[in-house]
Amino acid sequence: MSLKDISLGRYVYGTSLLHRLDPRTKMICLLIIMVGLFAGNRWQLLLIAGIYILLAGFISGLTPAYLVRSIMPFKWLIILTVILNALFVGGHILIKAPLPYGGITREGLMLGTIYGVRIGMLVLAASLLTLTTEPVVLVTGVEKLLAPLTKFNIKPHEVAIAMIITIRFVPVLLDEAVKIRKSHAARGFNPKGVINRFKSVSILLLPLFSSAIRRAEHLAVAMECRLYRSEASRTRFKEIRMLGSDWTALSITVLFLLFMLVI
Amino acid sequence: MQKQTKKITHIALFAALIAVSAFIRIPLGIVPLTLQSSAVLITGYYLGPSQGAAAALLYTGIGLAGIPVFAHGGGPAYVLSPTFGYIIGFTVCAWLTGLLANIIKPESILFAYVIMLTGLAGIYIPGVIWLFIAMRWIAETPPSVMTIMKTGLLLPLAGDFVTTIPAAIIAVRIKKQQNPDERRFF
Repeated sequence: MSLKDISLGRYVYGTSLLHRLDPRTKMICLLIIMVGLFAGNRWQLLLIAGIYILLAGFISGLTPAYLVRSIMPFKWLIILTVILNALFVGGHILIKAPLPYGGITREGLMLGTIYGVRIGMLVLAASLLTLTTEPVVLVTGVEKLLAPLTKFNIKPHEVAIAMIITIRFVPVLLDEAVKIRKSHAARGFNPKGVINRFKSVSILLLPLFSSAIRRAEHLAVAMECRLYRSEASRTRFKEIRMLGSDWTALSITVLFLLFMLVI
Repeated sequence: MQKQTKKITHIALFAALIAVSAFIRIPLGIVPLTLQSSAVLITGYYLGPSQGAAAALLYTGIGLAGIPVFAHGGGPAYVLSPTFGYIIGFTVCAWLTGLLANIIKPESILFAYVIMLTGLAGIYIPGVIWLFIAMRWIAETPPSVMTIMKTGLLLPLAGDFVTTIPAAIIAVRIKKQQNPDERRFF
């Protein structure tokens, strides 16, 4: 994992319709598709969801390589699902083996494939959201969606600014950790043996934590010097608005969900 | 200085620390240890229950929003991963550790160590439950309780027993410096 990966997230620049949609629309659509996928385990349901997701992928203008790469971290979960279902579900036996149900069954293989494809589709739908939305815009979307929580004493703006600070400081602290390691090496510290490896943990973590605390305090002072107040109403770097295309996309997704539930 | 701004920056920076600690690996024997649970424990201990939980929750939120801060990337689909329970557990753990530290107010490293071991339960109980649920209802393959216990609890817990020692030492030291009048880290 390089530093560049973290600072940029997985966003891929583009100007397609999917890129231009409001982040709230995309998040709600994702939720609807998740509900739809887990509504049952018939293959017709998966077919409709598959058409919907592939259509969205096509509109996004991303090359298939991006989509395939996003499934990769989940490949073992998918493979395991297919194999275990094939082995442990009873039915018509295809290959005999000393297993609880007498071998690999046709029903098990079919069920396993359906479950595996379902997981793959969900991962694909979720990565379409993060591949086409900039982190800053995504955070603004989260902030707007959290607006109803104001009643429970949660301030959406504070959540959003904390998220942005964290995203900004992850690469900074990662750099710092590397620097601390290197400065230890430059002074001849070479951990060998179990006890010394432990010492290396604590002499790495202590400066890292103290520098993070120092940075947090400096940042707070710097923000207040610029008259930051969390309760004041603020403007945003990137404003988001629900347009006609957003409402259209939402209604199409709801139609798909109804279609999935009806059949 | 206003307390609110300081609170926000502290929570944000500690969330960043939890994220960074996932990438620091200590090669110790066969299994490499990550320092993530130590970072969560220190966060809870230093910030207290509500702010500590907020920092861990912030980390979870950022990972789910698609920034690759989790061990294997990030994104909303991570909810399906069998290891997502441990990430939920971070919030519980930070809250529990902070609460115990606030009630007992330990001065010695040994007390802090015991508190942190209790806090680890906050990571492992949701972690193991989620591991079971994920295997049962997402992968639809009921696993045996023994395998889950062995791979999901005993192996990582053995590592955590060890990495919690430096965590306790560090937490006690930085907590002592929390009072700005006597701040001197080294």
